[in-house]
Amino acid sequence: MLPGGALDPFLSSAEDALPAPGRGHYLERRNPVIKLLAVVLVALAVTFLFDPVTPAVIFLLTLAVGRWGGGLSLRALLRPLAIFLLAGFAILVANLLFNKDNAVSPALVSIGPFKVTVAALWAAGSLWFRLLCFASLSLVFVRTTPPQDLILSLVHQLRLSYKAAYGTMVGYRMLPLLQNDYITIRAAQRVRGVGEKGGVWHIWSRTRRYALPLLTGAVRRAGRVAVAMDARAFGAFPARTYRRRMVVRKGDLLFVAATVVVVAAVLLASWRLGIARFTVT
Amino acid sequence: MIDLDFEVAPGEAVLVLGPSGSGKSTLTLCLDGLIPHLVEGEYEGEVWVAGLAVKETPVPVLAQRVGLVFQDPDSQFCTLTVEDEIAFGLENLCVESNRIDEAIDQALEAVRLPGYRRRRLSELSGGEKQRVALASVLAMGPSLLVLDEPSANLDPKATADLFGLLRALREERKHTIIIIEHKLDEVIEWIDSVLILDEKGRLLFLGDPAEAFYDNHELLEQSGVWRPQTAELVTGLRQIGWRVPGRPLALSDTVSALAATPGLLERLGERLRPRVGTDGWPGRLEARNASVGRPLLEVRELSFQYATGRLALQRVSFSVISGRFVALAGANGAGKTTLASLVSGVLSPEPGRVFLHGRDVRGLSPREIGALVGHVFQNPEHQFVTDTVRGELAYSLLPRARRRPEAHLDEKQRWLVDSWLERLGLLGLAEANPFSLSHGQKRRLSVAAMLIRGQGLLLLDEPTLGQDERQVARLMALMQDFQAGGGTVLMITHDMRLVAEYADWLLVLREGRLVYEGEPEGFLARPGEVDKAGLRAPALSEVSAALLERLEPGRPVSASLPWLTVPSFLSGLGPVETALVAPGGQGSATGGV
Repeated sequence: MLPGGALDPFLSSAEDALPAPGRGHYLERRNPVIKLLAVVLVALAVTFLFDPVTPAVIFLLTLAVGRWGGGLSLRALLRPLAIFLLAGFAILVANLLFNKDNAVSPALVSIGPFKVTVAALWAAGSLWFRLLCFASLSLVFVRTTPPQDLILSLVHQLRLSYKAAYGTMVGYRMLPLLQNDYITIRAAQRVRGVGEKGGVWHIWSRTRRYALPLLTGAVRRAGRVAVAMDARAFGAFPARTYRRRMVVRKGDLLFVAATVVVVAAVLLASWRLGIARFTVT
Repeated sequence: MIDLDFEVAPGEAVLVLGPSGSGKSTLTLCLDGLIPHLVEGEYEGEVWVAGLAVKETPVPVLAQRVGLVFQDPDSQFCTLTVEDEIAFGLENLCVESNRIDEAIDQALEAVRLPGYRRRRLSELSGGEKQRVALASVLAMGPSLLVLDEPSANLDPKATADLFGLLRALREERKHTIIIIEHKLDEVIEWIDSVLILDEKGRLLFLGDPAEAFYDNHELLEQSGVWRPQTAELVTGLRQIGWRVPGRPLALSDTVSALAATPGLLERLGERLRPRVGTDGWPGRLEARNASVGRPLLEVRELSFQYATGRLALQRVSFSVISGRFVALAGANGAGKTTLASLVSGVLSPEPGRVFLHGRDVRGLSPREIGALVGHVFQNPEHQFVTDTVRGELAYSLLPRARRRPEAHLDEKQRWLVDSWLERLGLLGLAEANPFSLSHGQKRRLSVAAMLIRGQGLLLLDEPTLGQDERQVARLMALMQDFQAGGGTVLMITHDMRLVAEYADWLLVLREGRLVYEGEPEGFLARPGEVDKAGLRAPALSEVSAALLERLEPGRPVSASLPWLTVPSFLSGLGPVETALVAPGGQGSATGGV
């Protein structure tokens, strides 16, 4: 097995940052489902903001909460978001070229027929900051929530069937193993002369060649886990006990309430200042 | 599996042996009721465990009587942390949460991992993972432990630790143990009986290990099961006339038996005395001189750090002479796979570090490296790229063919492919999908697919992993043919018995540093070094060392016996008759069998 670079920045870092259950920073101590609710509420609010400033403020607030509430370093927060710089640039270019208001909007700079309009910057900024909001919200959530706690919380608070919950957990365990397999298989086949050439045919045949060993391995592994779980009486009874129980405490409810209040305050202030736009103009 | 009928007494440790596909794993599932309760199939007969009829007893009840530990540590866990994993089984049994906490601590205590509660499973070593797997079944309070090749993915140190633990558990807690294991020399010390299955899953033998390995020659032939090295040595000695008493299997018993053999220690003294101070056995010196050639591979001050920050290799330098069979040994994580990957171009070394035929690999294209080096990965399935067995071999000759390379072969190439198929015994399966082959066949096919290209250097990454003895022998025969034809082998392994038998040069890595380069004898003669590298000397070299100690107490360990394999021991010692014909043993130094 070749230890390789992570394909998904969230995946490997979540493993690294797994805190001891019941301890750690403020965000880590929050009930996962309640925390998820807060994230969803904020994300919903951001979805309906069509100006760049308000989402930018919420983005910065999210970072601040992640930094001081979740104990995440700025580096840990910003590095995974680097990819969105690129996305922001793409959005900007698309808007500069195709924004329908370019013709009527005042130009800040114009180079020949090419104009950088206020409308384009405004639209691009809005989209980009909303994107950053979603990304940072998920990042902070993932980085401060031990996956096993989330699963337990789904069972305890949302009444998810425990069989489905453990199925998900096993799947989660498998992801890094699959990733390792993929890296190894790619190397193993390159040694045999399977090229890295582009072109539809090559990509198709390569995918096919990787898929078979990858899937065979995954199916075999899944079967083994299933046997090992059955051998330890998994699913023998309709209910089971839990060593740890995820509970909703007063602090969790306060956290959601505070989140709602802060977001509402930001929206209100922004609306009063005439910045916020809640519809596409 | 068919028609099995046997009994195991409480507190007994039973070793299950048999070729791959003989139904050993099926047997384990029958014992804890997954067969017939959860796995469908044709099932006849009765299994009784701890007084319970398996067919009539529900799985959760059986789960408290029988604990299963499997081969692959990563595919028997379903949670992320040690404590959650151990709690898992108890939670399924609806044990109250306050009692679970206590049980976790006790289970961790039992497997000698106190303080591991909060550790993440992903950060444990293979050996630790297997112990957690054991703890998670122990927590459920079983009287019978069933282990299905628990050491297959472990290095020698971790294997020895695991077996030591099982031994202790059996004494402390009176567990009955049924273990499937290929590593005979390691388990023979502590098992009470052996159960041998044949290819079809029929019971060939159940009983005393000494009887199985000494009195049942035919049985062993039939089942393809090997002897422990100790039994092999004693049997060999008897064949050349030495009257070794008893039927020893354990190391200490064997040493006593050999010491009590009339004339053996004296002969040993005679044969060794003239050589004290020189390095190695004359026979080996010849082999060494014959193999001196140009360096095929040269590695200079090679270091490598992964993107994750892990420093895998530190200033490793060595060269491989053409025509050698080189073993690359070391504990898991010592950097063996990284080193092989840097040689074969899977990973890219810094310029000026790795040279093939005197050329820097950084100056070579992947295609050029591929023409010089074949790299056989651990899992043969990872390297299959076509849909048929024939296609696999054809692809190596025509890697640029878009589809069905076998259709584009010329006369000569077709003949070459066919002759390889015949050699592998796969002529009848030429059109089969490679994934449908048996494990041993897959392994040989993946090696052949490299050999057919005719590269001068073949890298093999633990090729014997998960193979039974017969398959290992067939694989090694392929390697020896390749070497005889002028090929050079670099094989990653931690099986020192294999190293002693086949390798003529040894490289040992420890934590990314090369700690030994030389003949295997030189390394195995230093038990301290072997230990530190996380390896284990073959049983025979331990027997040799103990005999030497008896012969000349206080002799420095570094001057240990150069006889590390059974054939070399036998030919080194010579048949008993020569001692009678020519007392003193002079003039018969080359007399062998």
